[in-house]
Amino acid sequence: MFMLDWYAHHSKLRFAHPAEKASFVLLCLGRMASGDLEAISLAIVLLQSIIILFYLRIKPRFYVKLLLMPLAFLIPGCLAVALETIPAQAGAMLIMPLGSLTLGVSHDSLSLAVNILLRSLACVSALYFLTLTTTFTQLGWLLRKAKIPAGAAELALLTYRFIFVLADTAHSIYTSQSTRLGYSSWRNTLRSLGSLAAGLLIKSLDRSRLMYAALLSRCHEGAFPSLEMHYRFSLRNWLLIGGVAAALLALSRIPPFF
Amino acid sequence: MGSNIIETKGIVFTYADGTKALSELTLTLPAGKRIAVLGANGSGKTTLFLCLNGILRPQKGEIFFAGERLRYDKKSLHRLRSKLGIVFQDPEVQLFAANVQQEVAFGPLNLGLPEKEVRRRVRQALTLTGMTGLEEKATHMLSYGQKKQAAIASVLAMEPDVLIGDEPTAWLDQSHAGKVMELFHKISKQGTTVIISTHDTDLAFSWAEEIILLGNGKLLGIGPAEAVFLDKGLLTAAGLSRPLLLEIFILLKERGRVTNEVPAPRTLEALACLIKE
Ligand SMILES: Nc1ncnc2c1ncn2[C@@H]1O[C@H](COP(=O)(O)OP(=O)(O)OP(=O)(O)O)[C@@H](O)[C@H]1O
Ligand SMILES: [Mg+2]
Repeated sequence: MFMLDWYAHHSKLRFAHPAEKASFVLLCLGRMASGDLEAISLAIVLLQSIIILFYLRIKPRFYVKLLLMPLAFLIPGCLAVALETIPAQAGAMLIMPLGSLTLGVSHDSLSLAVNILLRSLACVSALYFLTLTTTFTQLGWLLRKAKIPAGAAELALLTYRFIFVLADTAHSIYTSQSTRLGYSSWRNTLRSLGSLAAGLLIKSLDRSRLMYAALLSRCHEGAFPSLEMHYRFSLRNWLLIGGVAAALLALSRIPPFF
Repeated sequence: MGSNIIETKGIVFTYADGTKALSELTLTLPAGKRIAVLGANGSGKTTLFLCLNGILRPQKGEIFFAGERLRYDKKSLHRLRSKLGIVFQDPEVQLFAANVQQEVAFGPLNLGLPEKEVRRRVRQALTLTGMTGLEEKATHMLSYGQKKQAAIASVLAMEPDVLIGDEPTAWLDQSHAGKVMELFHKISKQGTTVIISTHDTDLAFSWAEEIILLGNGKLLGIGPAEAVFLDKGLLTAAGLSRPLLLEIFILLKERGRVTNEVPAPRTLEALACLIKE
C-alpha cells in the first residue's frame, strides 16, 4: 500500500492526464469483457507487464510480489474450476478416482480455468498500472468527473489520509514499546500488542476530535471542496492508446488456444 | 486601528472531565499587534484559542470580536472563523487533504471564493511559507517542518485579520523556528494581528510587542513585553524564567555598564551595541 503510493508519486506518468491513464485501463478491461479470447488477456498481461517493468521501471521483485497477492486466491480458485466430477468413461484429460466419485480435468473445464486465470491477471495488471501511475488526488478527480456522489469521493479521500495517520501512530507506539523491551518475549509481545490496539483507538479518537476542530476553524461546513485541477492531454499518449486499441481488435482474428 | 480586536470578559471553561482550564479570564487584545500568550504546559493557552475561535464555548463569560459579541449560530461562526485563523499545535491534525495544494485551497474554497482568487491565494501562501515546488506533494510525505509550513500556509491563504499560531515553533529546529517567526513578523507588518502561544520567554521577548501571561487558566499579567518581563514575581508565579537577554541587560545595568535611560534590547545585536557604547 505504502510502496504503491510512493511509486504513484514518483512515476514517470504522474503528470499525465488522469483521463488518459484511465482510458488506457478501461480500454484493456473493455476489450476483455467484449471478446472471450485467451490471446487478448495474455496480450494485455504482457503489455502491462512490459510497461510496468520497462517503462515505469518498477523493480521486478516488487511487481512479482504484487502479482502474487491476487494469485494466492486465483490459483486455488482456478484449480477448483478445472477439477470437476465427471462420469468415469467421459473423455477427460486427467482422472482421479475419489471414493464413489471421479474427479477429472476435462477439455472444457481446463479451458475455462485458464481463461479465468488469464482474464483475472489481465485485470489485475491493468489496475496495477493505474495505481502505480495515478496519485490519489488524481483518482479523486476521476471519481468526481465520473459523477460519483461527492460524499463517496470525500470519504475515500479522508480514508486515504487516515490510513497514513493511523499507520504513523501505530508505528510510533510500536517503536516506543520496543525500546522498552515490549516485544522481547512471547508474553511481552502479546501484552504490547493489546495495549497497542487500545492506544491506537484512543489516540485515533483524540486525533479525529482535534482534526475536526481544525477543519471547523477553517470554515468547514460539511463539504470538502477541492481545487479544480487542469491536466493537459498529450497527442502522443492518445496515439499510443489508439494503437493499442487497434492491436487488441486485430487480435480477435487469432483462433482460441483450446 | 488603535482599538481592541478581541476582548474576553470573565470566561470560564471546564472540560467534561471537570478540569477547569480557564477561570474568570478577562483580556483585551489590541488590533494589529504582535502578541504572545505565555504560559507553562497546561496553563490553558490552547483552550483559550479554541474559545476565541468558537470551537469551544465557555460556560460563563463573554467574548467580543471586533466589538461584536460572539454568537454561536452557523452564520456568525462562519464569519468569525473567516477572520480569525488558527494554526494548530500539531500539524498532523490539521492536514487532511491528499496533497499540499488541495490542503491550502481548502480554506479559501470554504470561503466561497472564485477559482482564480483561490489559486492566487494558494500560490501566495505557498510562496510566503517557502513551499513552492511542493504543490503536488502528498501531505504524508512531507517532513515535520514542511508539515508545519503547510499548516501555516493553509491558514494564511484565508487571509484572516487575526492569525493565531499555537506553539508555532514547537519541535522545529532553530533555523526553521527562526523562519516561522520571521514569517509571522512579515504578516504582522501587513496589518494582521498575530498571536502566538509559547513557553519560550526568550522567543516571546525578542518577537512580541504585547505579552499575556497565563498560569493555571488565570491571567497573571498583561502588557508591553518589557513591563511584564521585568516583573520577576509574575514570571515565577507562571513557572517561567526571565529571558536571558533581559537578565544580562539588568546585570549590566546594576554594574553601571549601561546608562539607565535606554530601553531593554530585544536582540543580541542591540545588546552588543549597548555594551560597545
Ligand atoms: N480534551 C480535554 N479534556 C480534558 N481536559 C483537557 C482537555 N484538553 C486540555 N485539558 C486540560 O486543560 C488544561 C489546559 O490545557 P491546554 O491544552 O489549554 O493547555 P496549554 O497551555 O495549551 O498547554 P501546552 O503548553 O501543553 O500545550 C490542562 O490541565 C489540560 O490537562
Ligand atoms: Mg497547547
